Amino acid sequence: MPLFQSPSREPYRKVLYLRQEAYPDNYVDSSFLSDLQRNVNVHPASLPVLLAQTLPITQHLASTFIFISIFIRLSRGALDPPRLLAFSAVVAIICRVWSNWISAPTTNGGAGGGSTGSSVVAPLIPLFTLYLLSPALKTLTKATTSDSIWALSGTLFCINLFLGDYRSIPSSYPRPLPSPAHTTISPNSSSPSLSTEPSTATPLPPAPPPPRSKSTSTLPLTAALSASTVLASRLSSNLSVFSLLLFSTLWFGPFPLLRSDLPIKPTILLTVLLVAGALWSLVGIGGGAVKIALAMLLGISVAAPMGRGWLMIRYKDRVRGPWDQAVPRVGGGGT
Amino acid sequence: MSLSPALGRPSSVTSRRSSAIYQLPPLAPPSPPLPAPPPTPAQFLFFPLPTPKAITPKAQANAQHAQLYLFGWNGTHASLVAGLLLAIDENDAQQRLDSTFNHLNHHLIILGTASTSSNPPLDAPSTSSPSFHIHLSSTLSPTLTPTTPPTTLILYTPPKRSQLQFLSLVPLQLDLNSFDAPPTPGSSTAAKKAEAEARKKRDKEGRTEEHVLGEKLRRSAKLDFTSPSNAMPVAVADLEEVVDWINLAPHLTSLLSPPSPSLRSSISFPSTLASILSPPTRLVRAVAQGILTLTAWELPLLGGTALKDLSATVQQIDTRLTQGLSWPSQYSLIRTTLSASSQTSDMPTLALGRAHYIQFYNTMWLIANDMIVGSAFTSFVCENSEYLGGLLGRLVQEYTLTSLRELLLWLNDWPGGVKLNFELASIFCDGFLWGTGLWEELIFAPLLPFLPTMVYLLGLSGLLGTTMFFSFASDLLALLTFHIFVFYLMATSIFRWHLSMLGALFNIFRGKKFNVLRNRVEPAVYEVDQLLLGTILFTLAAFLFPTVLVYYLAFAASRLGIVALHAAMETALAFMNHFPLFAVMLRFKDPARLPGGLQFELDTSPEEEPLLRMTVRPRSLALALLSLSRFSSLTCLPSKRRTTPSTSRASSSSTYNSQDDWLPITARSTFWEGC
Repeated sequence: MPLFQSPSREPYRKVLYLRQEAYPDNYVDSSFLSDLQRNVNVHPASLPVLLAQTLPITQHLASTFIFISIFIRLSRGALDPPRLLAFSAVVAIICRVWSNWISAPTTNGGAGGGSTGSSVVAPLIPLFTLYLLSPALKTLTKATTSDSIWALSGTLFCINLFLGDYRSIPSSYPRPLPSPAHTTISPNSSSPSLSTEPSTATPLPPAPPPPRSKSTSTLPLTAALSASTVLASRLSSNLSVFSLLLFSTLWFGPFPLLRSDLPIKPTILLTVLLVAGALWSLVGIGGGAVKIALAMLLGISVAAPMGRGWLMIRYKDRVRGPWDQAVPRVGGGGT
Repeated sequence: MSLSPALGRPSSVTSRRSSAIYQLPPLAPPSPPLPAPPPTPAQFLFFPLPTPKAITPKAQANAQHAQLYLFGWNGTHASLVAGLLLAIDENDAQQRLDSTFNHLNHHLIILGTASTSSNPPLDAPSTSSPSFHIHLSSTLSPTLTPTTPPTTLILYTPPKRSQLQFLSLVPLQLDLNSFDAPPTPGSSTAAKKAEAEARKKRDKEGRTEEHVLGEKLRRSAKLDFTSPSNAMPVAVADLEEVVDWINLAPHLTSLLSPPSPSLRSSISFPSTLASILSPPTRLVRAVAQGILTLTAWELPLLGGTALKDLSATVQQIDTRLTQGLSWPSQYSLIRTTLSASSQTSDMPTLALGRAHYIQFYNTMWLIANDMIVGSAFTSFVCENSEYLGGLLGRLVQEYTLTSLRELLLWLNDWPGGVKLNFELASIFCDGFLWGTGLWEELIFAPLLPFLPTMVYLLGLSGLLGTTMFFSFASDLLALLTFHIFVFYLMATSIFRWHLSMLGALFNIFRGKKFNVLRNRVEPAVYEVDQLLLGTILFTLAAFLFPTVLVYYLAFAASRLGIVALHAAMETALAFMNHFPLFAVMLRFKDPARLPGGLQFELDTSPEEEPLLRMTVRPRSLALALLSLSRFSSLTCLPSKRRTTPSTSRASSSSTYNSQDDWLPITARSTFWEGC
């Protein structure tokens, strides 16, 4: 850095093709690093959006808690199997009605609605098979200790939670434009995923939304069913085994599919209902279950979005220069 | 290899076949490079070292003026001296040669003269174009007078035809199955074509791994430039010719010399061929062939298993009958090949004849051994049949029945701490226990008092040979443990079914399915009820798997033990049937009868010039034993040979029956083949 500046010195130009004699080679201009842009493309998601998008996760977690509490009551004998069977019948009827209501208007997604409708009805054959298999299932894990059973079913429920399909379409909210590169194969949870229907930029009317394409991963459903089978093998009577399995079929199969298609207000309502139901059913269990469940639910539904939003605002620091960034193209052949 | 520098002869010798010839570095200190002389073909002269007696003419009138002449063959690169001829002069010698060999196609010429201490050379120069002069002396080795194209003297030992010795460039193939295409290096185009055709035929029939291995070895042996057989000083084509001449030489020299009564084959063949084909023998042959077809008859019920695959006894009968049927033709072949008046001298025919000879007498010797040892077994077993019968009964009862029950009860109740599903385990246990009880009640208990009689009959069978004894014993073992075999089959099929079900259900669990058309696993869309059923069944199958696995392992292990016993007996059988005794004995007694190639040694002694000596390298012993392993079941686990109908019995197949498709390596299947 020169000790004095001669007034006749030309201003420094940050180019390489000029030989600027007045300045030394390692001259650092005062405009250094002034072109940097910070957080240019980062749009902090608004909290309501995030909260709306974590609703399915909360619902799912709550329904899992409900299932676990039902199992605990069954195994303790506090719940009668016939009552559970009656409850399952009610749930089945509700699902049936719901699916019929969804598939009733013949929109462009009518065919898809029909297929989702048919899939929510539990046909008769698995019913009989379940009934026949319950004695075998009852003694399936008699030789295994309970601890391994809890661990096994816990692992399977975790698989179900983490791999679940949590996409939701709250239709009274303007949806962002779908990106062309996104596919439906990966059932990723807790990320703001986009829908894959043909791009209609206009917000849909609050009619039942056209059903999106089905997720092709059946692993969450099968994991949940395996977990319930394993748990059911701990029960003591054939009827209880049968009732639990039937309930789990309805609870983990058609119910999540149906509740993911709701608009925003019913979603909130359903979430509140489910959370309340979970907490109320866990009250009788004891052992601090309520506290744990409450902590998890609150954490998922409230703390996580807030943390994400706040962390993003505070710590996200993407600095970039005025140049064009090269976007890597992954997996594309050719030039 | 140009050896002249080593022999002190100044020359630079090259040859057209440079691939087989190496250049030795000159031993002299480096001199200024000489101008390269025009390439002249190297001359090698082969001279027999135990020099045959000079052939004297009947008329001994001019004996004192007679001179020793060398006669033999002259080739492009090498000449061979077949013997010495005592004659007055060269024309006389040539006339005698022509008169004897006129009608034959052998062109023997006079190669030069020889001199010994008693026959000093005369001054008459030889007019034959390759004219050599060899000085023989009783104490030193023969010396060759140097000639203008420098010639190397190579000494060879002439093979004694009467003792079935002969020279060969390739090791004698004792395996008669591979005689359709003997691998001769540098063979003519016709032979190469024949070899290629034979190889194609073998390819079409499906090469066994043994053939592939043998060919690989042969190919790599050819390319191995460090092996002594690949470094030959003479161009290979010539050496083949020379070896043919050497094999022919004794016979021709015998023709030249006045007939002597001692040149008779030392082997006496008592009977003639006509007596072999007399009517009673023909009847016996017909019966034998009928039995052979019966043993090879494939039972339709068991999916095409031939009768001889099921029973060791039938296999042994089959082997013996095949051997017996081949004897007359083999015998006549040997007679024709080895008769003293045989004119053929090319290597393949000679080798074939010798191999047949060795094989024939080997079989004879083995059968004699068999009978002798068998009668010893017979006497022992028949005398102690009561005691042995009782012992056998107790052993069988203990190991097949009582231990089986104990095993089943142990498996029922958390064996080794492994927690099995109680319901399924008890189903298995009760089922197998009932089966055992049925077996014991219906079959074993009535059989028990008859065991001494059966042992006596077993001993009697030893009269027919030890091999028959072992075959009977093997069959007896199979019969006594038949129930274990049945249980093993059931456990295996249940296990296999369980495994496939588990695999399919796991695919449903993951939401995939197996596309049979494309032979891959790909994502699939399932309905909820399908998923439900699939998942529940998958859980069921996964939890029941350890139980099925444990029962399968138990029965597979016991089956393994029984199969090990069978394998031991079959190994003994293979040794009895196919051990190459004759070849081993020949190897030690007279290695020249088992030629394994040629080797060249350099003879250096202080007072003489170094000389090359060509000797026969005897065939390696390892090759003999390799042929044994082909017939034994050492290379395969015979566990599945009785159950899978597609593999035929590998052991004890006849050495002479080339259409036996033995598959020793492909029959090496493990227990998982049953799944």
